[in-house]
Formats: sequence, structure tokens, C-alpha cells
Amino acid sequence: MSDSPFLPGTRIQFAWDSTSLGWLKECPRKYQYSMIEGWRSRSESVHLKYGQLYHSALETYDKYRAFEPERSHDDAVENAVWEALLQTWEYPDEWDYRKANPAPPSGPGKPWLSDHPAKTRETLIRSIIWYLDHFKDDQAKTVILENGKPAVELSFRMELDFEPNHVARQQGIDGGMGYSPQPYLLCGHLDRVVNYLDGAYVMDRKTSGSTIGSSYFDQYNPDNQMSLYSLAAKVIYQTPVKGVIIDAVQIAVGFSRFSRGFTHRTDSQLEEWLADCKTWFVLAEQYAVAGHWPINDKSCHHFGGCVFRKVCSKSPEVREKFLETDFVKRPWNPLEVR
Amino acid sequence: MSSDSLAEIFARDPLAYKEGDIKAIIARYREARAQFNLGVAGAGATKKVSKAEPKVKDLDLDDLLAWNLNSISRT
Repeated sequence: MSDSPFLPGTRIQFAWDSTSLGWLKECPRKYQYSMIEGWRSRSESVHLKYGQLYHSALETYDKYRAFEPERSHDDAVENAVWEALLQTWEYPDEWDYRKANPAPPSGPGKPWLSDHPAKTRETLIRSIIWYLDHFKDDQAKTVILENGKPAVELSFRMELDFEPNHVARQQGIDGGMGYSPQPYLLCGHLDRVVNYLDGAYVMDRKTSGSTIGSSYFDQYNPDNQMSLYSLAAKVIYQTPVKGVIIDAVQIAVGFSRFSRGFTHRTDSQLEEWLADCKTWFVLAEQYAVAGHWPINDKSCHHFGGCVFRKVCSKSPEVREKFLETDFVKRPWNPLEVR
Repeated sequence: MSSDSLAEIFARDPLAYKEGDIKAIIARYREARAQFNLGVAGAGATKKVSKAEPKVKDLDLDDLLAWNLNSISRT
């Protein structure tokens, strides 16, 4: 399979994840800028990086406890903290401790310096330690899959019974544009599947700079990512999950505070979500074939304000200049395992 | 366990950590968490190592002579 999420020679995306599907649902133009062209706001990277580092550390702990149950909680915490410290130290030549048998780095390097007042290297380490201690005696226990392996760090690619060029075939265009029958894929990564009280759940962790109030968890139903996770756990891992446990952390300068919430999905909701996906994919294919992604000008001021609002508010002939000034290109690939 | 401050440990390359540095980080943040749970709101904040100006500077002889000449010329 190609490494690209697009059909060869086209802008028709066949491999989707919750992020790229979310862009399309918010606004086709946002989807064009973010997915087709790969533009990222220069300022958004600290939140993404911090979230990824936090996830990575907790995954390290989960794997350690799952694959080496004889080791203690404290051993696993030390392991997670050690890896997070290494991942937040910038060695020269992009030296990476995770490579097999790496030679020592060529120079001393320096600590990652965040330009965010609360999401720093220090608060990351603090949040990792405080979270793991907070949930040390958690009733949520890692599921053991049918193959005997613990359900941690589960990357998936779910093949659908539907492929691009469906629109062209329906319109009687013979062979469409000559595409080979590549089915649509839904891709993603589950941190962990657990048994908790009344059933099995996917577990996900979220970081936030704001207080986690009672309404915080309302945003996760309906929600792309949570629906995809629930579907993936059921279909691929044959685990009839009730939904997703969300462990959220508020990151402040002087503390980290944790809250746990739940979002549930019935089988009917998941069937509906999947059927809607097919509709969205057909729409994306139409935009790609037409080479035009319209602006949804009812979305510009939602979600805290679209990052491309300033670009779209300019006349079309100058937008490219604003993109080049305020954004960087970092392609997003749902096929990439994170 | 390391007696260095959290800030000093954080300022070092992890590959150069001494034995006990990781345990020290964990222990200090656990103490901070205990304080936070008792109501100390900013217990988890970490002061960074700052490159402060030294309070006593090494004197340069030329500077000292220049100062003395200036003092004499004002009298």
C-alpha cells in the first residue's frame, strides 16, 4: 500500500482519521488548507506536542505494567518519566534514543523550551507523575485480547466496504479516472482498552489549559474521535465497548488537576456514524474532482475561531501570501503510526 | 537520592544524570502533590535556574585606576 493517504495522482483521500474527517466536517476550505495543502499554524504546535508527549509517557507506563506485571508502579513511573525527559531534550542532529543501538549524541543539546506559560517541560513531568499516582489503584484494568496480548498501544486501519470513485461509477463513467479499487480506510490509535465496573471502554487522555467543569465532557458526544475509537474497538479488536473513558487534566503553572468522564455509544449510534462517514467521503471526492473546496462561513467563529479565519477574510488573490507568512507546511498523514 | 534542586536536575542532559536524579524528581513532585492536596495552590510550580549577575564582581585594575583618577579630578 502507498504511504500517501491519497489515491495516486489525485487529491482524493482514501485513508481517513478523526482529525482529517473533523477538518472536512468543520469546513471544506479548512480541510483543503489543512489536509490537501498541509498548512499548520505556527502557534498550534506547542499544544499538539505537549499532548503527544503526555500520551507517549502514559503509554509507556501502560505498556510497562501490562507486559511486565511483576514490576512495580514506582518502576513504571520512573520509566515513563525517564523517557519523557529524554523526549524533551533536544539533542544535535535529531539524535533519538529510540533508534536501535544508537551511538552517543554528537553534542550536549538543550532542554525543550516551550513558549507557553503553563505547558512546559516541568509541568509535563509533574502531570505525568501526579496522574499516575492519582490513578495508581485505578479500578480500570487493561483488557487482554483474544490473542493473549494486553490492549495497549493499538494502531488500526479499518477497511470499509466502499471505495473512492463510487460517484464516478454511479454516473456511468467507465473506470472513472482509472483508479484501482482501493477501499476507504479509517485509521487511528487506541491508547488502551480497559474493563471498568459495568463493562469495557476505550481509555483516552486529554490535556487542557482550562478548568475541567461538569460540562467539559459534553463536547465528546457527538464526537468524531470518540465514535471512531468505539467502532474500532468493537470491529477490529472484537471488544464490545460501551464507549470511552476520558481522563482529562487541567495544566496550570502551579498544579495539575484530574477529572474522569465517560462518553457512551450504542451500536445504532455507531452504525449511523459509519453511514454518515460514507456520505462525507463522497462529498470529499466531489470537491477533489472539482478542485474546489467551498468556505463554510458559518464555522469561522466556532471552536475558538478557525486558524484560517484571517486568511479567508482576505481577497482570494492575496491569500497565498498570508498562508506563507503565518503558517508552515507539515503534511498530515492518517496512515502514519503516531 | 540527589540533593540538587529540581531546576538544576532539569537543566542537565538526561544522559548525564546521576544515580538518584530521576527518583529525586519523582519524590519532589510527590511532595508538591501532597502540599497541593492540602490546599497549597501553587505547590507544583518549579523555579528555573537563572543566570543571575554575581553580586561581587572581579575588579579589573584598569577600571579601578580609572575610577581613582575620576575621583581625584572631581576634588
